[in-house]
Amino acid sequence: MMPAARWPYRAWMRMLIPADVRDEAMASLDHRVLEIAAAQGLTAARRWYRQQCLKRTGELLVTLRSQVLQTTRQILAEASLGVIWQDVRSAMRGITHAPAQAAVIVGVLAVGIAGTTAVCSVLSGILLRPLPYPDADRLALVWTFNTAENRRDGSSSLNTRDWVSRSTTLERLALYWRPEFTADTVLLGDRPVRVQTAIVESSFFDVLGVQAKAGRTFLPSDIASGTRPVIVREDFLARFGLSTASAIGQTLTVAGRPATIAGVVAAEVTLPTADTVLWRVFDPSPPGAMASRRDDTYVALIRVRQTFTRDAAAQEIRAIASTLAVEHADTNKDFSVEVKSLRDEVVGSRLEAVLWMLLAAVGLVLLIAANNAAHLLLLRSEHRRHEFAVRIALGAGRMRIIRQLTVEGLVLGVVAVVAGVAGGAGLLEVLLWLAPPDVPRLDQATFDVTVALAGAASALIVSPVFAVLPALTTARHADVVVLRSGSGRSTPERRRLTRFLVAAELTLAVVLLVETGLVIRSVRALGSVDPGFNARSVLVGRIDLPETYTPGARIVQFHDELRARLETIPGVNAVAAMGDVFLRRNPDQKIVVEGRDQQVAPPLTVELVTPGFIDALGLTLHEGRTLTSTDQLTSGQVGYVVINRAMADAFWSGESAVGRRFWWWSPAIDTSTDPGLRVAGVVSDFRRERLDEPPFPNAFVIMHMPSMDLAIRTAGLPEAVMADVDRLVREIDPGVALTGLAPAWNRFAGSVASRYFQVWLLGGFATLAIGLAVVGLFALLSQGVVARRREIGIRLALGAQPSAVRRLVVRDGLQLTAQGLAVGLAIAWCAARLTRQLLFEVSPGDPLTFMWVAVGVFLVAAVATSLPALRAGRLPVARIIQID
Amino acid sequence: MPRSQYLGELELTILLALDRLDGPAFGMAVYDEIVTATGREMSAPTVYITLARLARKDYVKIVAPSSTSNRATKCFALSASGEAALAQSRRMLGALLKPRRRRA
Repeated sequence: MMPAARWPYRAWMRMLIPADVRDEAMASLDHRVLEIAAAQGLTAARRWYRQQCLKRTGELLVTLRSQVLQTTRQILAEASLGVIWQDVRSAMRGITHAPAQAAVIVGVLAVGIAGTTAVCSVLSGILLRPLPYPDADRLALVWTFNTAENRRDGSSSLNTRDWVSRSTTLERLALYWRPEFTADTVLLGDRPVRVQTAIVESSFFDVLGVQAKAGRTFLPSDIASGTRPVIVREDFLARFGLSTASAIGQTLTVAGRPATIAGVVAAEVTLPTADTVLWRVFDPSPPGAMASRRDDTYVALIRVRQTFTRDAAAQEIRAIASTLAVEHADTNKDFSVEVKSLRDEVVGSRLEAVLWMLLAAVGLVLLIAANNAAHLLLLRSEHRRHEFAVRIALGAGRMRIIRQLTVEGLVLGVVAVVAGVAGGAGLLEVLLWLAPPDVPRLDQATFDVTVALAGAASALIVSPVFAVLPALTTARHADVVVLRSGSGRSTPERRRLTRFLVAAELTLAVVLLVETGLVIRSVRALGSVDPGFNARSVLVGRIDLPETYTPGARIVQFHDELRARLETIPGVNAVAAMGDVFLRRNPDQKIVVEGRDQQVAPPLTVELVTPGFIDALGLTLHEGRTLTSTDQLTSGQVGYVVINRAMADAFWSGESAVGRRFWWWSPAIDTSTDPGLRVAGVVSDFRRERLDEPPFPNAFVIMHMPSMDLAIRTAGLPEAVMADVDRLVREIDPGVALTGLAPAWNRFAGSVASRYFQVWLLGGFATLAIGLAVVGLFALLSQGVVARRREIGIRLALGAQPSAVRRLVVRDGLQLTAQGLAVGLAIAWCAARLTRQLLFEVSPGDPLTFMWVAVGVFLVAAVATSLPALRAGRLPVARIIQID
Repeated sequence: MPRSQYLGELELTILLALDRLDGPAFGMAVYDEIVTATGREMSAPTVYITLARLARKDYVKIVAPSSTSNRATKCFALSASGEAALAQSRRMLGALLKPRRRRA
């Protein structure tokens, strides 16, 4: 028969009724509910049951309150300095009596406090602390979103002007160049450095609300003045030993042209990117007919009017964008917008996911720790029931014992808090030290006092409460029973609770272990990704030619000489230049393939290279031929390009690509007169910047540019020739800036490093979790053996084999493990799906990981089980029988 | 031996209700009696818990734990010491309820 009351209320009610009358009371209530349901309907019956639950809860609270008040009053009445001191002393005695147990409890609590404090500090620094701009929540970035290709893109100045002029919610808007286009070589004095720069509209800093620390920010008149002012960041100046005040008016060379420092801003300005140190100004007013709405160069920084929310602004701009899509269907057909708050943009969704996962991990560990501490404290007091019974029999007041336990719990709690807070501060340092350098706003992470206080408070509450709980019942019930039974016999009730707690610990630990396993497998997969070229034997640096090198023969000549000279260095195999070896732009170039419809998707990226780039990067030529200096593109003649495997597969899958013809797409394309391009050869793919992102389709064309990456393939270690390369470049022309010379592998290490960070943290937490859970299991089983000493003794005395007794304990432990494991694996299976974003080439349900975790947990649990089991088999039978 | 000779307010209420019911009664019947007679808001489980406590103190005896239905039900009745305690409480309350003679 289905009870009429809903199950959550029945479960609630069950908790409110003590075990001795539970069955009877529950049965009566169920019966009564049915009666009411029959007489007045189900709704009335359920209402009655709810009222019963509420009333009972209220009554329980009233009782509890009066009990607590009474106890406190009594304790306070008896307390004096001397008595407290005596309590502390006897508490210390109690603790030193079983130091290992006390140490474990303190350790468990301290670990929980330390872990939460450190991770929450990082989290609040990165995610919760406001950005260093006034009214930062009114700032947002607007991107064009290409709905046809499902990716976001830069915007055109024409479109953004329309957003502003038609909007009522925008206060201001400033454009800046997409940061991936704007790395520059800067020469201050005679030391060239390659830095991230920004090209921004003159109103950029005003929209951000940033004032100059010295000098000024940009003025609208800066464009016309021709002085080329730049704003630099304070920490950039420090690298050159320049003070903020003395820097104003200094000249430096940016991208081969002189510029003047007009102002200095604080190091906390991190827009467009965290490593931007220099801002240049530009005027986005459309240069006549050349301007296109398809231009994707700019990002729009907006400040929303005070009276509107960011969401309202986002909605309005989206509406404007869809109007524009109709008005300018030829260009804007597929354009929507993406509005992202500045905070989200700065922090990044992937990092946010990592941090939340970490917090979840810490939360789990803290749960396990608190759980474990409670359960250990329960066991500890449980063990001493006999001691209390004896003391009560000898005339100790019940209050005396409660007080002593409270003080003991408090002493343990205080030690744990001190250790935990110190540990948390230390752990924070370790986290900051381990963190990969590209984590934004990491400098904002400082020790979070609020979290530490909360952790401390919880420890100071948990420990005395759970220390006292068993004593309350001991003191209440007939003490004779405890005395007679000879040992602390736990009630079945409490045994069930502790068993549940231990199983829950195992469950949580399993969830963490699985997640860690998946991330470890991701990192391994990432480490074994072939970047497509031998990154460990390629040296990459940036070559910037001074302004005197005008595009044309002069640059070609320099590149030829550079190649010839560098290849004389022993150990250098091949040299070439390439627009950007590591910059992975969004594919933006569309092409028209001969014999197909116009505008074949997907788009690709065009890479500018000098002859010999295949050798210099160590790529493999799959078919066709490589390019030589005679393949420079000339208008009116057919051009030759080399394409990568991804492009060949995208456009000419299953057939040979060599000799195929295509055209760069443009609105004015005329395939009948334009000779177009032909594929000369196909090279292997290679990965750029991040190993965890697959290669795009690429076309390589010969082009000599004043600013290019230099790629040098070496026979041995690339570091060995670095000095020679540097010297030779300076010999050819001391005005040429060679910067950032480093082995290519270093660049990939960045993307691997952030994953190692995750592995370290998660691995640490998972180890902690399983360690805590196993301690819990061990304690539970040991206590079980002690509690069942008499039963086991009798069994042994009656001729049971020790092995049978051992099996009894082992079975108990493994059963518990199996339960925790089963539930844990099920939860982990669901949880892993939520963290898919953090995995690489590993499915969230990876069977190998799940299997290893299961086997591992079982083995560890077996070890934890075997010790109490061995002890059970070796119990001194004669003594037990004698005592009891 | 009972810990206390004095009855708590809740205990007294329940003993009085049992007395009014005149004979063995189910816990639910005691609950109904209290609710209808006094209009007092009280939860049914509390009645059971208090009855169990009174049984431990020997004021209430459990008669014929019936297992005829599938419900585990017990009938409660006043025990001899329960009657005595109730009588004593009644005397005490009666004495206190009588208006005190005014001082001359």
